[in-house]
Amino acid sequence: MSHLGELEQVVMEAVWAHPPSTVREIADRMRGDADRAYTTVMTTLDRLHRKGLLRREKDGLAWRYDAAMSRAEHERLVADALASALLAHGDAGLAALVDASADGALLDRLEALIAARRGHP
Amino acid sequence: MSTLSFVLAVGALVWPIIWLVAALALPFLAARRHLSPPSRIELTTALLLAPALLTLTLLGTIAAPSLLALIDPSRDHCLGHGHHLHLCLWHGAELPPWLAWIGAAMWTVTGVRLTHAALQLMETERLGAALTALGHMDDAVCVVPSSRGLCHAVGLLRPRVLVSKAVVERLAPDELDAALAHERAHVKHGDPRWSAALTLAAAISPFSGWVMAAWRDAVEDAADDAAAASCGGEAVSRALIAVARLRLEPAPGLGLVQPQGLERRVMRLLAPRPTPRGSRALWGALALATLTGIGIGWGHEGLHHAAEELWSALVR
Repeated sequence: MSHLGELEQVVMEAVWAHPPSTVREIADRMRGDADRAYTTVMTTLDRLHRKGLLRREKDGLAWRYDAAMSRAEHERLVADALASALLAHGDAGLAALVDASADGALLDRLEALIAARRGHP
Repeated sequence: MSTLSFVLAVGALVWPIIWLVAALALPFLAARRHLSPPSRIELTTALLLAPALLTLTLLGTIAAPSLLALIDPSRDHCLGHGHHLHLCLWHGAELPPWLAWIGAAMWTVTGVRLTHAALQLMETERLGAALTALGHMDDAVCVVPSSRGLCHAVGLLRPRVLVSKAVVERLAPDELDAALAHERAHVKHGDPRWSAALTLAAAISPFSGWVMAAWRDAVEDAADDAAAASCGGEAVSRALIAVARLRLEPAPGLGLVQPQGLERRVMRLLAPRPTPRGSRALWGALALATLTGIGIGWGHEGLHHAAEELWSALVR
């Protein structure tokens, strides 16, 4: 799951706000700084559909787009991808609470040790 | 061409000295076993910074007369002495091919290591910024909507704690307090910045992997002690184990497997007596000593001439 580009984010926001929507409806909602040509919005929607972030179905001659997941689900997936990248990246420029993945048996043993100490202070 | 020969000559001269110094300093690492975490931090920081600062000192003093000659041509001493070879940025250096190759190899290795370290730091910053943008920040703690076992102190410009929602939800309240106290100790002491600075210093110095690992152990122990002082050693131990359990859950490509590190920390936390964290005054003293060395070299050209004497011995 990759981070969205600036325009992709704006388009996704528009779809999340008013699902499901046609290209025309989304383009009409994008005003001010976000204003883009109809074809640009169409291309972006098509790209998001190919990425699996949008579903679409025919509505007459037009496509009607809906988000494949909620904004919260999307953010969790992006955060998971970034967190996994950070965990796998190494430790340059950061400090991690646990810098290693231990095996379950060791964790069981350490937990038992803590429990035993609690029972026998 | 003159400048290139100077650069290659300096590479052939300086880097072997740094490697030798780093190798000679390595046995001091063994002394850390008897030291408290603050002292271990100071020792390992000194061992990591010393070769880098010595490099800057040597490069500065060797290049200083040439650079001064730009401002004041009377400082150009190339014609002023004939008893040894000259290392000059503008007039070059006498450079046998075998030394040119050594110089080129030394600069290449160092350049690659420095570039790799810089790219790693940039990627850490990028990932940290992206996660922060997705999270909710409160009092230097950013809760990220992730199901991974993320509990890190990050940020060069704005040190902060990144903790995943999974950690917040899965840890008991006292474990979460302990985990955040641990990370806040890192933020308070600027450990992400030190980690970045030492990563770059380690790229200059050979044999730095062992020293860097010892620095990380010491910094983690110091943060453990800070958290244990406010939350208790047992709560910190349980927090470590709980986050380690989260890290066991499927997530591709997790970090290095060093289970003995976790076991060592838990056993240490369960033992009586957390050590309070001390100052890092030694680092300031070390930096001052190096700056003084640069000043002496700049002013009296002593190191410059010593380097030229050594160069003469190598070439002739």
